[in-house]
Amino acid sequence: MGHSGIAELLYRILPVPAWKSGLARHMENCPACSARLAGRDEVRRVLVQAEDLGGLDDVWPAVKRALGPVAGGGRPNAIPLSRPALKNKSVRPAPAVRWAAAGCGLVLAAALLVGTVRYLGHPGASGAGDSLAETSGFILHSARIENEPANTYIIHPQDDGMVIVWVEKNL
Amino acid sequence: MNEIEAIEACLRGRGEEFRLIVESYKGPLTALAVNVLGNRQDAEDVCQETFIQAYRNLGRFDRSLSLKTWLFTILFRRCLDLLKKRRRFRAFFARAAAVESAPACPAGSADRTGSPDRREISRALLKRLSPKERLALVLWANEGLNASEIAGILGCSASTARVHLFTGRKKIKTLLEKGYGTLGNR
Repeated sequence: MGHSGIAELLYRILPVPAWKSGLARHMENCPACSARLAGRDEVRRVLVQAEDLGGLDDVWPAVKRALGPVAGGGRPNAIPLSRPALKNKSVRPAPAVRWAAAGCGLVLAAALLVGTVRYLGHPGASGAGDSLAETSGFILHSARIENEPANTYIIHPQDDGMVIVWVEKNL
Repeated sequence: MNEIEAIEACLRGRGEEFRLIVESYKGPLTALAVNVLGNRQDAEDVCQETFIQAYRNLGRFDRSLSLKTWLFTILFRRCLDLLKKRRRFRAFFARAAAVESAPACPAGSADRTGSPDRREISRALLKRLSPKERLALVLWANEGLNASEIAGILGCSASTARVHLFTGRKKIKTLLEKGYGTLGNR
């Protein structure tokens, strides 16, 4: 994989637009990487251009009709709006707030993950099967035949709750 | 008469002077709307609505900014509104079609797949690019705007605008390599 391939792979996995943007800037300027991007002419060839649309002669008459007596009394709104007010629609929290929120989210996700893993590793977490084993289980310390230690085999078939204990004399 | 003089004339009540602005920008605005919406009829409607909204709010236009950028911003928001309406339309008629066995086809719906204009537009391109990517590409390729100017119209950071542009260029390259032709031919 060439460096263009690595750059593309990195671009796909980077989560933050700011990081992606840095990489995109490199890929736009690097000759090898930019060969993998459509150039301005190629994009123009694909898109519809204003010249492709013909005269569009009916735009002004339609606008004029909609505005009513545009030549006379149809005065536009003359109340100036300040620049900050124009930008209000794209208000975003400060970067520090966004980073703090992202950090909190990460810590919460990590805590959730650790909790889940620990819960699953807990003996009581595997559900009904184990509770059955607890209620129907037994403890076998040793088995003896004629006061001698005997070979003991415990067979637990998987299909039902049966446990077979096989004890044979140690020859 | 330049566009600032035309705006001042309109604000003094000489609305006919707005024609200069309409004639100057109707081509780029309609082209942008066609590329974003994929339908010429809708694009012309949105373009007209943009001029009407711009005229009514002409007094709010900050003359230190570019009129073109302001018009593009209004147009893009109108395009997004229309795309949302289309999605609602599709969802509604999809539900209706599911309830009634007969296929439902909304008269006058924006998704008129059989209309000649619609056929002219490559579905492949529209499906693969998001509206923001399409807008970024049009503004970059047709209008020569940079990432910061595109960001002003999209209402996002320059980094995000650059990412939209980059992703769009990558997708177009992939489409061209796969053999998709120009929009007008498909």
